[in-house]
Amino acid sequence: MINLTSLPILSVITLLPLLGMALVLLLRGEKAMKSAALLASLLTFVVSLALWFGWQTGEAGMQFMESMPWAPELGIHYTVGVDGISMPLVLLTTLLLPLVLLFSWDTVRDKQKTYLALMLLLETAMIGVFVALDLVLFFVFFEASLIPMYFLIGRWGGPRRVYAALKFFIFTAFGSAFLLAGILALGYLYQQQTGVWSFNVLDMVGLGLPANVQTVLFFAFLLAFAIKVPLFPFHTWLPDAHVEAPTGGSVILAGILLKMGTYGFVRFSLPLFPEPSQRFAPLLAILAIVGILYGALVALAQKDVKKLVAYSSVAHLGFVTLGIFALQQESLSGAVLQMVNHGLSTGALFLLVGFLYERRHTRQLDDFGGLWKLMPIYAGFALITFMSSAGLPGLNGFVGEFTILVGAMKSNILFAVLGTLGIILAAWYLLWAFAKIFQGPNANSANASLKDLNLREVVIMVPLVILFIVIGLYPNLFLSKINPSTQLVVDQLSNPSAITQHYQAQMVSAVELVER
Amino acid sequence: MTIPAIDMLAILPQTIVIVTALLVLLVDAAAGQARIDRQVLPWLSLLGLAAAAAAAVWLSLSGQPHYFQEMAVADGYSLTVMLVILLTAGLGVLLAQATVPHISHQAGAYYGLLLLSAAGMMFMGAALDLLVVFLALEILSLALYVLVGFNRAEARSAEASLKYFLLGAFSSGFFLYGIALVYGATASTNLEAIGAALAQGTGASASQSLYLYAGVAMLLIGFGFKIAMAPFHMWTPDAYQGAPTPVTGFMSVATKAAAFGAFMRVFVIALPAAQPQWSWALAILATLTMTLGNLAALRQSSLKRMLAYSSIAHAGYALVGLVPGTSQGVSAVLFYLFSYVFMNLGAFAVVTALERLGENDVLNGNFAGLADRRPALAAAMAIFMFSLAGIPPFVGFFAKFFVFSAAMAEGWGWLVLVGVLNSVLSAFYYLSVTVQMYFRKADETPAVAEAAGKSKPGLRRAEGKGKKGAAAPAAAAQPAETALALSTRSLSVAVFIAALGTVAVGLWPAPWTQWISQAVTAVFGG
Repeated sequence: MINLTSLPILSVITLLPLLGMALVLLLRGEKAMKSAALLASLLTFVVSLALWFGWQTGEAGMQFMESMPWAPELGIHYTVGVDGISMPLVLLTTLLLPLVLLFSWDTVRDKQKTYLALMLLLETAMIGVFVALDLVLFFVFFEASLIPMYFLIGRWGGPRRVYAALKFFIFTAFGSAFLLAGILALGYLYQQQTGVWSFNVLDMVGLGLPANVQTVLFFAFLLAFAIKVPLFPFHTWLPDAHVEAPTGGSVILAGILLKMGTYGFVRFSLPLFPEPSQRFAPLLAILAIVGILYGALVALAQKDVKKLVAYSSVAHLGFVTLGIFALQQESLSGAVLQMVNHGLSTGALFLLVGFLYERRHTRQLDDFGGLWKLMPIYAGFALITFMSSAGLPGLNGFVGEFTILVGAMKSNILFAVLGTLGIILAAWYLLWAFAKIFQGPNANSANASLKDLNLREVVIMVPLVILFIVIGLYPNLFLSKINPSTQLVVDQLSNPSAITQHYQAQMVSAVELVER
Repeated sequence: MTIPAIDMLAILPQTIVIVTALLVLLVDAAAGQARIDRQVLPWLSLLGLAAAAAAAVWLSLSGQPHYFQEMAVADGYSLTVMLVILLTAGLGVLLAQATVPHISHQAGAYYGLLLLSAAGMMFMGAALDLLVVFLALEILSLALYVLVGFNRAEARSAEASLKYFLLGAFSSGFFLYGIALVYGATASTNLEAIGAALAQGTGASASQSLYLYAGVAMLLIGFGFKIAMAPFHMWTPDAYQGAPTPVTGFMSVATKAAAFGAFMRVFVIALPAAQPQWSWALAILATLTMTLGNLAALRQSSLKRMLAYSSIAHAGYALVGLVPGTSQGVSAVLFYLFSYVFMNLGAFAVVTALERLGENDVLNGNFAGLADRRPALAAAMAIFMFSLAGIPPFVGFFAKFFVFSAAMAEGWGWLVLVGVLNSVLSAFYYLSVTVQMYFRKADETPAVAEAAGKSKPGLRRAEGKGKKGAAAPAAAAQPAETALALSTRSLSVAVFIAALGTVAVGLWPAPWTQWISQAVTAVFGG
């Protein structure tokens, strides 16, 4: 059998979309371009499955590591690897991209070549964010992902697209500025201690910085990630971006881009700055809960379905953040799983809104009603998706929210109570929206001619629904891979040397990798 | 008395450029009689620049530095500065091919002056003596004064030239006076000798240290003027806007490279004794330069004027690398200047491409819908804008990263924070260009241009003047129509080279940083 770990799988996954982009730019003819883009993203997904099937379950540290020098004077390396925290997110990315491209197959008619190229460029940047283990490499991907999304919103978006695109870009870039300063400071501190520059996150965890330095850097990183998540009160860019973005952009934005922030918390904030992470965890948990309740309440007041889903994202990401800063192993695993869940179910919600918008060119709740009879297949998919998002037991959302609440309960009973209130509110706005759209009398005669989902649209929804059910019924499939890594992160909070030893052993093997 | 042996190899690249300049002028003069097409002049210039670059590469690969008495040197550092200038000049010639035929019949003078100013710039990086720095400064400046005013039909060009000349002459005076004061404190104008004298404690007495600090301050003003450092940047927007665009592109990059080349050698080699003082001064000036440049750029509707303020801001970023006074910092600044060639000259190349015959000012609104009309050009411009804003994976990101990490390495954390926040500020106006190109439709142009004119009465007045003048060269340029096809091709080549450099060097900076840091450590020590 081929030893999967010896192949540069992560580099292949990261670069395949880029090759696809080059192909799209070279090709002429609508069909050829679309097929090439879809094929490239499907191929990326298939290759990324090697991560799943070649996974060494039980291993807490990095797998599939690769390393080579990039800007060696400053110790900057192209170092990539995945653990139980990042692997599911990589798979989420490679899964969502072909679905989005399939959605755009007929719905994006304007400047298709650029659209497809940007989507594939975005995929490379997003995968890069989740696999990068060098802080500079991470930052490059983190920032580079802004460019395609900026153009996607600004070119294919709604009426206020320019404002939304600029706001998205500037907000994130503002946070990133502090992140960059923090990264530079970390490299400098490492150089002070050891005499050489390094930006490798595995090197950094053993740095043992004084508490006040940790605190300053913690907040520098926090700002960047909190804007990206977005954590209340940094969320104002999100509704604008979501409402104006084209459906494909919204799916990617909610499904993957927002996870970069929460992923940053887990990958960088907790291991690198354990002291302030614990000291300020209650503050962040409270902000997360405010986000949960605020997002849910504002969602209740929406008339536009897409805006409703956007605010529900604020609430859901609040749950993920709560899971992270409850600092319990269960809740951290739950948070990682919930990142995937949110990617799947909110992605699906935006797709459903998109299907409707393509047909009726409106997203107002008041324009719909009684669609259950008119579009039974659509209504069926919508029901499962709404339930998944609301956290119905047996579906994926329940597992994530439940494990998060278990951890939150251990940390502070009040957090769990308020979090549960958030779940109730989520059920309220989702069911209310569902009732508005699918039940009751038909509000508009134009709805009578609505066609049900076609084959292409069903093909998009099926894999998502299957995953809702699989994760809901057999979460251990994922949790068994996530748990060891989250355990390591939590252990390290109380005993910083635990992760250091684990990672240092890995760095040695990475160095051997370079020498080979 | 023996005639001292002179190592002519030490000034080989400069000599080649000067000889080429004279050849260009000769061919131009003979062109009428000998029926030579003047189209040959830019190619001759490019040939000379390439030969000089080859000589510089050869000299730096041969390893040993060559000294021209104690006046100039061809070492790794000076040769790297020269290569940056030669690259800029080469791209500058490509740009000029699109514009010069429309604004003047004196192509020979244009290319000759361009080459002469490049030669002066090359001496800046090679100078080992303050007087050579001054001579080089004058050579490059005099040629540039003329080039800025080259578009004789355009009133703004003449105004720019006059402004640049008056203020430039003034700053040269400061510089010369600074040399005199430093000489008064240390009894030498040679950089090594000044450094040695200061190290031995000369200049420690009260009056001597007064001379020294006053002298250093005046040298700082002289250099600050050339690199467009605030508060000595006032000439920049007018000169950059008024000058023919290829000249603006060339001078915005090459003058900076040359001035920084001398600036860094003078301050790090000759004045390390005063380093704590000048580091602080430079840190404050860098903060001022970045912030003022970016804030002012936000308000511009003329693209050349915006790029002028942006180039002030970039002088500020580069200064951050000089603040620590380390060889890591010097390498970072050199890399910055190298990457600045691609992104800034690229931006000016796009502006040149958008200029109609003889028109000398492109408004932000002229970019509306460019992505639909000229997708490749718009994509290149977007790359330059993102790179200038410091967004990875383009070269501007690593340029800033290296400069900031050099400052960080000596503990200048607050300066780094100022730098990164300024980058965010700058994103506003760089993004506004991409908004125009990609998110607006072309038919919105008149409204935008009109609105811009209304908000700036002063500018509109200037525009009115410009339009009257522009009619003349446009008419004169009729016979040059045939040259148009050729000139757009050379422009495309320039844009392509710049875009390629911006992307490729950004993705793979290692070979370039290795070359630069080797060259710098050999001269400045570890």
